[in-house]
Amino acid sequence: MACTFVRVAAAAGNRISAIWDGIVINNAKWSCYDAAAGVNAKVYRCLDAAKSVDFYVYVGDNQADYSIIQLWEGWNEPGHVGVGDSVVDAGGNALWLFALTGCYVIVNDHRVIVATAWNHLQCYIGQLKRIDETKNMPVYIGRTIGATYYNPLGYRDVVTHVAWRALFNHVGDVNQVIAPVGKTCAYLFAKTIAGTYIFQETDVYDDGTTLILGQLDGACFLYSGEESFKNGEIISCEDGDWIVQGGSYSTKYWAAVRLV
Amino acid sequence: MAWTSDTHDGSAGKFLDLLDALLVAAFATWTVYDSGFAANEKVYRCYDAAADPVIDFYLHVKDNQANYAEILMYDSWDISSHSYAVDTGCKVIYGYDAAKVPCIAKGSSGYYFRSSNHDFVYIDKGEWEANYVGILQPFSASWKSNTQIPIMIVSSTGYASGYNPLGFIRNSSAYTMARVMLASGGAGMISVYACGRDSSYLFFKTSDNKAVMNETWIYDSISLLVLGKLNGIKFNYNRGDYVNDDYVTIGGDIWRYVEGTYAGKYSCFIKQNV
Repeated sequence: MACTFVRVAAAAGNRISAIWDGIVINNAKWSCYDAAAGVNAKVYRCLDAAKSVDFYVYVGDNQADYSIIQLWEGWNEPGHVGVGDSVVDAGGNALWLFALTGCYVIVNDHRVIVATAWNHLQCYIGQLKRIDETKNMPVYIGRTIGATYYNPLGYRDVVTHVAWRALFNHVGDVNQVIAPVGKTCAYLFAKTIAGTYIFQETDVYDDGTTLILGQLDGACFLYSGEESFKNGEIISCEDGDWIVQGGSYSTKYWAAVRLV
Repeated sequence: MAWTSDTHDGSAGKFLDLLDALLVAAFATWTVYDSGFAANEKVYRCYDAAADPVIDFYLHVKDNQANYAEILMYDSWDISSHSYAVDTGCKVIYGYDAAKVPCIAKGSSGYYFRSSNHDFVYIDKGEWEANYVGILQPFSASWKSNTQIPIMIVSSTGYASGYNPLGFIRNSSAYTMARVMLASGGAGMISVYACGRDSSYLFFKTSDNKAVMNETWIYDSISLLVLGKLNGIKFNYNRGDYVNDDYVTIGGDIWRYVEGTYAGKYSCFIKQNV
């Protein structure tokens, strides 16, 4: 795993150059699959056949501040179009990955997390730590459209603000709502009597069947209860440094992301 | 560490017999500290000088009646006067209010008892109430509090209600109680809760038809600081996914399911061997 801090200019194209081409594809499991998917648009593939991981991420970055994200089961590179099943919206709302000013980009073989200082938003794209590693179940946890900046990893699927979606669940259902165990619970605390913090990778379940699909890989959902955090603070724990963010909405929805 | 399934007739003294046989006779850390009472009343000490921090607490068990035992926790005991030695406030003697003393149902329908060096779990199979008495566990070998944190999560005077204490971790009227003898800043008899309390979304079944069993974290209701985790206990709140006495096996470990008999089904899992 690797964490890189990068400064991203707001103008169109900069998320592709700074984050995806500049950082993500340095991991051997990630590649640029279609460099001509549109004006300031590319498609990236995450492939690890031995672990049943294969999905495509369309990044449409032809506007300032954010990219339009889509998850695809397949991609026709000559035709520059998606193939098969996809997550292209949540309740009709497009998926927007905001990334500007300073961003932490944490990449491993199967997922990307982007945590931005701009409004303190955390976005997760890729696989969970899956219970069943024979199932290809990439997820998108991030913003949809709109200008109320709930932190996606600290919130839940409310389609006008945030999407928690799996391209497939464990039985192959498409564009499934997923959720963190304990969602909407205001009693998720992390600060210990010893003055330290304990962040636990959060179990994630399929909202339809309520069965747990896996854990957030290097992320801890905390929702709204903890009052001792400050946006962007970095906390050293036994298993590395974690950045805590809660968005910029009046109620903070906290999550912690491990910076390794 | 042992898991026992047995029965007794629920009469006076039977809970003491159980503690004598399954704790005191089995573990050097548990002793009868004071047996000089009139009838069916003893004080037990859990003492482990080798633990870091040192573990030392006392349980005053009043078992001179049928169907339940009262159980009080203290940080010291005067054997000559048969009373709490010095009232530092570090004790657990009631739950919701002063009348709601800690109780454990001990009916004649049988019980499970999980014993270990520093804690025990007693499950009454009539009410299906699981009670936890002992030390909160640290999160890891390198994480620890500077002080011991003894805790009681048990029934109260409403012990016959069928509310499962380990599925309903709080001071709830007469039904259940949850307090630590010593909490953050050295405060005594502090109410505690489970992280994730009141959430109906504490799912645990996995897509491969098994389950995840994260041991439950306990936090101080005043400071909101996390104090530690329950040893081999998974709190589910109001998830009634199984029936009493079901179990799941994960990695060779058996986790017993208990939800009480109250309609609310406040459930938990207890790892049988810790």
